[in-house]
Amino acid sequence: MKTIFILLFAILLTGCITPIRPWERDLLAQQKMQLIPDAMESEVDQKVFFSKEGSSGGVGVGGGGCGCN
Amino acid sequence: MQLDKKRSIRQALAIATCGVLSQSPVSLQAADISWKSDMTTLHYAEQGRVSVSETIASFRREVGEDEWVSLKFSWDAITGASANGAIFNPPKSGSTQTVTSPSGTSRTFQTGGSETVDPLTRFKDVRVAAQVSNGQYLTPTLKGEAVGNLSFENDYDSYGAGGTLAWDIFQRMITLTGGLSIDIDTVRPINGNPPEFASISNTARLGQGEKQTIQSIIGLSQVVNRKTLTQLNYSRTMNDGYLTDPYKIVTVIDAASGAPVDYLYEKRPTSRVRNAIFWNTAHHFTEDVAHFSYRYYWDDWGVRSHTSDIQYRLEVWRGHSLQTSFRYYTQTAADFYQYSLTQGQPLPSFASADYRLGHLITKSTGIKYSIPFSKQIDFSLRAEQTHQNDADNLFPSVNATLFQAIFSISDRVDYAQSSRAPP
Repeated sequence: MKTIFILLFAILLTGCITPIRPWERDLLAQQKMQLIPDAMESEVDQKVFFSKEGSSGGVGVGGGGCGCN
Repeated sequence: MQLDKKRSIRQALAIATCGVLSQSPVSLQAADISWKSDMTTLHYAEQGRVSVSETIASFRREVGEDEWVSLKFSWDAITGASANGAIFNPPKSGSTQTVTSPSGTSRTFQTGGSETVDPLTRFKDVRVAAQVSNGQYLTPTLKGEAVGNLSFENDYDSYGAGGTLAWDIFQRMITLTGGLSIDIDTVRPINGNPPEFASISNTARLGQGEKQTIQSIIGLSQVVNRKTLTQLNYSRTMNDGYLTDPYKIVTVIDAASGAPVDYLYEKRPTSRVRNAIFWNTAHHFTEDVAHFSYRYYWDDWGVRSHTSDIQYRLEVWRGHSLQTSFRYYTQTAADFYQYSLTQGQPLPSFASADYRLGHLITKSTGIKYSIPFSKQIDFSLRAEQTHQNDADNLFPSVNATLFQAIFSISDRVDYAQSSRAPP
């Protein structure tokens, strides 16, 4: 599994991708195309699953602790 | 002065009247709103167990050409019952006895011939939290943000600070990110923490427990083409200190009959190193948008998990959208996870019967409808159904529903809401 991710990371880093000019970024600039399109939805989901499952992480850092049960 | 004031009021009224007459009723100009605000209120309820009502409000404002500040406030009210680790379905008979829990809140144990404990602990708590952050562009391509946060519950405090950097490279085709944060938490049940592995009949209590969490993340996001964006993150979290849950217990059973003979407070290691690799992709289908993410997680407690999440946002009509989502999660049990201990056997170094450290599967299905009130104001209603089950069938399943309303005011116009996307 880790190897797959390292390979994926390497492919991304090689930059074998056509540059997208600023005037071609109309779709990418839309709110719904952001990697986290709705911060409130994402925050609530992360908190629920952090409280109810044994694993968390991968998205960001900080945000405060909680003694959630 | 008085004349000037009157004139300015007249002018303001005239401008406002013209504005009302010349605009559609709900449209707003970009310059009218200088704060970006997101507000949400939600209700989360597990069938027969805990329910949470929460409200979050966040505000973000530009304070200079390349600088902004944001504030966020949260308020939660939690009530209901939570699984405490005691085994389910032992014979229940006899009288009811009320015992004081570590939080100082009464907890009901049913005792009888076989002395069984209610596997659900009733509790009530309130949490308030605040976060402040300041961000700015340090160079035209390097963005930094510092964050401070604190939260308080009846029996838990947390103070934290952190920062992130994001650096755009290769004509903004790639963004490299890095972040670091530290949180210092205090677990302080009102009467103190129980000694680990002490019987619940033992009334001795220790002082508060403290733990420290250091989180770090590195990531890369890349524009793949005009319609696709992808991201890969690696995060590492180190917890040190009191990681035991003072409200969780482990049942000691008789080797021959399997009947409970005692209940001990759990004990967990004092450190934990958690790793996660997270891949996230968004693709634009000219109108609709799909998001897919996958996370692989592992830690030195022996928990491994896979999480897949897919969301599809369907554009319905004039900016209205319908989003459906599905999330699938599976985890292995922690090395020290034990459903019960056997009487007469030596105690292990650590033991917890918290089902959240067990062999768990979670499936969630969600739906969200968004309505644009204007080019800058958006309202969404969302419902999510979650089913959680123990793959070893030792603990009963948990069914939860979440209802959430989200109200967002943006300080900039999202033209996706008001114009037709190009082919």
